[in-house]
Amino acid sequence: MSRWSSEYVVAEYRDLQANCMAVDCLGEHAVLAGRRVLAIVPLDRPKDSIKKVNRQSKWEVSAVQWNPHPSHAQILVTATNQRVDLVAWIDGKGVQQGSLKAHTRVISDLDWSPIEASSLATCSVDTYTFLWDINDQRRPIKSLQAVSGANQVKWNKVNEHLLATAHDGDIRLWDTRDSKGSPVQYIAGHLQKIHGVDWSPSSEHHLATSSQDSTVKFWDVRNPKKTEAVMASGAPVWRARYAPFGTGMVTVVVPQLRRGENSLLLWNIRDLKQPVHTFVGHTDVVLEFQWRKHTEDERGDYQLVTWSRDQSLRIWTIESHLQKLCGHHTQSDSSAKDSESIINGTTEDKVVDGQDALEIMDNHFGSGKDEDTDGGTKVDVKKKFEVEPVNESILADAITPQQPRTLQQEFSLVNVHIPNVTVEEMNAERRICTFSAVSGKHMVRLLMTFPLMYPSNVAPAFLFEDPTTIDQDAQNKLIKILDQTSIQHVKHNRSCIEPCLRQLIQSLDNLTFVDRTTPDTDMPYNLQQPPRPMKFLPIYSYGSLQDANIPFPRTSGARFCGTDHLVCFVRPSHMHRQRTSEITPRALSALSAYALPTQTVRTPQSNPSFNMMFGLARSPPTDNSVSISSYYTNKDHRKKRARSKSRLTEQGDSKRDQKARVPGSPQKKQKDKSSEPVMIYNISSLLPIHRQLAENYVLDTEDICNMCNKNAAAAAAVGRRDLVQMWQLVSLVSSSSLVPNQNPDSEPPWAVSPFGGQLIDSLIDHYSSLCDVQTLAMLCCAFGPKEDAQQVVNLASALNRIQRSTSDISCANVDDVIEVVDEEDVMFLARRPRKSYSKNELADLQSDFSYSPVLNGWSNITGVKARRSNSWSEYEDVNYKFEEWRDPDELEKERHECKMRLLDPRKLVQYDSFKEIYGNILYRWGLKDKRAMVLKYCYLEPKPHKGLSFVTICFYCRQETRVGQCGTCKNYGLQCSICHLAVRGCSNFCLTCGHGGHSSHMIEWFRTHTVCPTGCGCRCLEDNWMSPS
Amino acid sequence: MVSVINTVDTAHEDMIHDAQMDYYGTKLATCSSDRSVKIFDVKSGQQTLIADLRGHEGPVWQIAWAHPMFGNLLASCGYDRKVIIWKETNGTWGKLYEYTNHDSSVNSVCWAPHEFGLLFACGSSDGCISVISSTGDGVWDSKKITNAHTIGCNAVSWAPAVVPGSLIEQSGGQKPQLVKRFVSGGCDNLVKIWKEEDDQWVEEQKLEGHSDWVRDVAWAPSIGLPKSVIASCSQDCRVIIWTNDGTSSAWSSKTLHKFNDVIWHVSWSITGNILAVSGGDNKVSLWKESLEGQWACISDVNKGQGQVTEAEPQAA
Repeated sequence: MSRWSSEYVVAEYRDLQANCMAVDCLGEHAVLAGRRVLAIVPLDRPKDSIKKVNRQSKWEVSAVQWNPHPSHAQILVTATNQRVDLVAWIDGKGVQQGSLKAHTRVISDLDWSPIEASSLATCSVDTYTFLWDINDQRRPIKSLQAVSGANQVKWNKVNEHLLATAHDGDIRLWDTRDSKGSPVQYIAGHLQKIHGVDWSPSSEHHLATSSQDSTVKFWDVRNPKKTEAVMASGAPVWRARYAPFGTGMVTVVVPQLRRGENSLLLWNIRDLKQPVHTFVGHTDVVLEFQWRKHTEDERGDYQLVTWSRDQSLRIWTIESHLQKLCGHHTQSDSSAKDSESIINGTTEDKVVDGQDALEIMDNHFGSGKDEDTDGGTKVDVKKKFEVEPVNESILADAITPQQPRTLQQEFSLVNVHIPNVTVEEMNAERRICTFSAVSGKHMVRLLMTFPLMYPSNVAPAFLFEDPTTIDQDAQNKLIKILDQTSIQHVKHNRSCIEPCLRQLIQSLDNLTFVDRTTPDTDMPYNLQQPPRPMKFLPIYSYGSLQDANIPFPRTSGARFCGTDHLVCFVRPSHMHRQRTSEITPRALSALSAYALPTQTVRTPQSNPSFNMMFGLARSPPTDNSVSISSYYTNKDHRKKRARSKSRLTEQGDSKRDQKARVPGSPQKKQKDKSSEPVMIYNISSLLPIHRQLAENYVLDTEDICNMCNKNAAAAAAVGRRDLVQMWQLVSLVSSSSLVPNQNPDSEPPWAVSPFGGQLIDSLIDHYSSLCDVQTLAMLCCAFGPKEDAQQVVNLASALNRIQRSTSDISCANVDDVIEVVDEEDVMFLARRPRKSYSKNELADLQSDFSYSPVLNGWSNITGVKARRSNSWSEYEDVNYKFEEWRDPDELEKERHECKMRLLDPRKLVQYDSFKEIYGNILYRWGLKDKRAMVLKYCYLEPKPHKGLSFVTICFYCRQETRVGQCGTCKNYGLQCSICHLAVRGCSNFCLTCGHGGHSSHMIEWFRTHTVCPTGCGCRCLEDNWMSPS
Repeated sequence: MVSVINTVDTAHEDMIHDAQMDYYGTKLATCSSDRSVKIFDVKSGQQTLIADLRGHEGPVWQIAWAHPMFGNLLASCGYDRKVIIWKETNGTWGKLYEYTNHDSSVNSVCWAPHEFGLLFACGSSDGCISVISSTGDGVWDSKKITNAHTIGCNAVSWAPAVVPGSLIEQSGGQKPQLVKRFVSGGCDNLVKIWKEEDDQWVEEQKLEGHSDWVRDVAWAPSIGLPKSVIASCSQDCRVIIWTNDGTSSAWSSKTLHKFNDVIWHVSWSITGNILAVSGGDNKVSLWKESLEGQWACISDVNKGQGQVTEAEPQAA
């Protein structure tokens, strides 16, 4: 494997901010497309003037491509948001040739048919893939729809009808002749997103997919279940495309640490273990690469044109030996000549001897990312150099691949606008420069001296000069850090001034941080400073590949909290959205565009492929981390910054500290404004419940009438007139004159009248729809049954059975003794209108059938004595075993009890949950007594305790018991060790020996003793000691 | 009517992504892109910073207070793929537990009703939802629902601990057995309801209605009625109210409103009758269902100005 740089031409276009590139089929021009400009670069003279067409669109170009047919070579297409533009490049001018509009969401990719000159395919996240004939621009000639959006579309290079689209981890193949409009083949290719698809240039059936899962897979589309081969790259693969020669393939991988180097690799697909060649040069991720057949070169050398996030265009020649390595045999035999021609192209005035170069190569290997390049390969490389001595000069090129060649150059390129750093002197002749940096109360002045060999693995020297205010220790620390930083960079022959300066200011902040013990004046609270996150920890900054899946962060919100609070947070009022007409982007990746050093480039929203590119093409984190703030502020960014700066200087050092603490991130410059206060609202007036009511409500079921009047007064006090009315009403219902007579033979109880149970029911319905759980709970407490829970439950289940049985036994022939049970007969009537029973009969029927079956279900619980009745045996066949029968008098009493109720016992569970929920609200209000009062009226037993519980073993019969009295022998299970009497009240027992007794006795005993009073020798006090935690 | 009772200057160095008060309404927790979580004492109008919790290595998206019966516990989740449980012991806050078993940003964290014990769910952009429980002895047990939402899960919210359907049913003497349920929303535009069955989490219901990523879901608190209500909001600018009457498994949907911008967050009042809606336009609106079942905006909390203005006189 080789790794030297064989770049031919480097041209930087910093101002273009292009994110797409395409090379025309004649190899004459490359187009660089960005939001602001479309630039045509003549590839033969790329450093010469380029032609620009201004666009000034608010959208980025998501894809650009020249027509691959020499007859139409001047036509190029660009995709911008939902539109495709056709431009003809004629005589150095761009002529608009129309546009294709059909997509409803951003277009992710487009592809000219390699066979049909006027055919174009476009795909979009709107799930459609359109096929166009550019002669008819009104509408697509065919549309292909998938369930999810496509991010790649590629025509087959052999079969004119076949094309492939990539959807997340899947590939769909389409045949344009297929009229169904459904894919002809489906390949579930990868478990993670597929970034790139490429058809084999020679075979109709083969394609390669590159994916986020760090693999490139090769497929025969006739057999989609089986992967033909897998290339594992160790990092997500952005693109993998077949080379036009031999069995070569070029991949762009995305190094996980985003170091930006070594991302462009050449492989031979016959040997996927390791790449054939690494193109070293780009300092950032390669966004696009295309092939150019070097027309004037007789030998048919191929050139690779690449465009990277570092805003440089590079043209690499693929020498014939590399082509050979990829299984391609050219007619050329002299690789040496090839190489020489390259050397001419990259003439360097610096001379480095081969020995040094080899060392540097070693360093490269040692620090390189490819773990599979073990020692063996290193040797191989060295050998290769020996065999081919001509490569030495190529090595020279590797030493200074893309960096500024001279110190003068580096000085001129240094970004001097690092916060808190001022350049005092830069002298390229003396090879020194001086900076001063400020952090907190401290100031340092740093002198950097550059040895002649710098930056070829030789680091500059650092020295602090007066008036440096930090002490010697700190100076030494800083110099150590700086040395490390610089060595890291020069090891790779990279210039290190800027990284060193950033490191300096960061470390300085860390060092001086401890000095700032006094809180900043604008902090309203007094606390010790929180520990800062360590600067060298891996900090997750935006820019990971998955950002496209992560929702755009919310910057405002409102949340109901507690009972009556609404907490609202907002983004600061000065942070405005740029385009209020559009909706906020959905994914975090929309932010990635702001990771660019300049804050002006914006991304089209929700364009996964584009975001992906910028996402991964970030410079190392912490340097210029992007924040959500960037999305909002950038419009008047400069203005704001200027303003806050002037204020900062006025306010002096303390303010400056805060600003300096986190250099580089734009939002920090307006720290004081980057978060708006959180507002807490009291929204109790909007709620149906009221705290004051909770405090003043009384619960007294002994005298409901009085209670209602008191509660009505409480409701009046808070202005709830509806509640006043309600309480007055229910007070009438519960007046003493309406108290039901216990004798079933007296008049019907009030509860069965419309203003009895029904009234309460409708009140409950009403307050349910108002969600007034307070009133609901109070009503349920007031009118709930007064007896034991079990009885109520039984009663309720009885009522349930009544309903069921009455509706079931429709065929029963009834002529027996029967009476009315309760208001249920009304329901019964309503439900079964087809029966022509008289009212009396009905009533009879109901009550009889109701009660008998019921007994079956609950008699065992109630323990009511019942006799078996023979008379009902005839009903066995209707599945009701009327086994038990009860005294009609008792039955009558039961029924009467039912009738006396104002609340339907069957809804017991619901009523209980009203009480419980109201209890929880009372708890939140801190009204614990009130809560206890309410919960006292709950009828259902709480769920049995599941955790740890104590069991006592009966003193007499040794059976387990949970209560004081043993269930087996009926003795009191616990005996006091002191007085030898049974313990019924408070008790304490030793967990070790099991002895104990009345708490008072135990306390008294252990005041003076530490051993067990029984004399068993147990040191109860020590053994039962538990740590307070 | 609605009054501001406190204005807390959080001094976060970057945008705030969530703010939440504890059970009693005495403490306020906030989290921000500056990677910190802050806790303020806001009792009776004061605002004292109690803790500045550093531990996340990226922006912190959401926080959640546990029920106070477990002590003062706060969960936070963020871009760094972590969920951190913070605990107050003797007045100082520290990390109690860190859950790092997600492969992408953790977007939402929510504690289960206290009846279920110490239990929370979190949803991540890796498409998975984790349900993590502890018996309080420092051992945390996690169950992962893989591929709960393709592309990613954006929100989780627990159902209240009542058994809606069985409220009318009789269950004799004891409280009915509670079923653990929660709702989640994700990038597959779906709202899904999950239910625990035999110690396994199964998808009980899939609610289709949104046409873009679901950004938040909120299960309405119960006041003891048999019906269940869920609100969901989405990138498609709509808020949908899903209702189940408690007798069948069918959920009916109703669009609350189509807004002008993306809706990020929905929150129910404790009585479940008011919904606070907030989104990309930096505004908050409160919605209430009338007795006729129509949803009406009852006020706009105009965020930029920090003012609450009554929109229209309240009907009903």
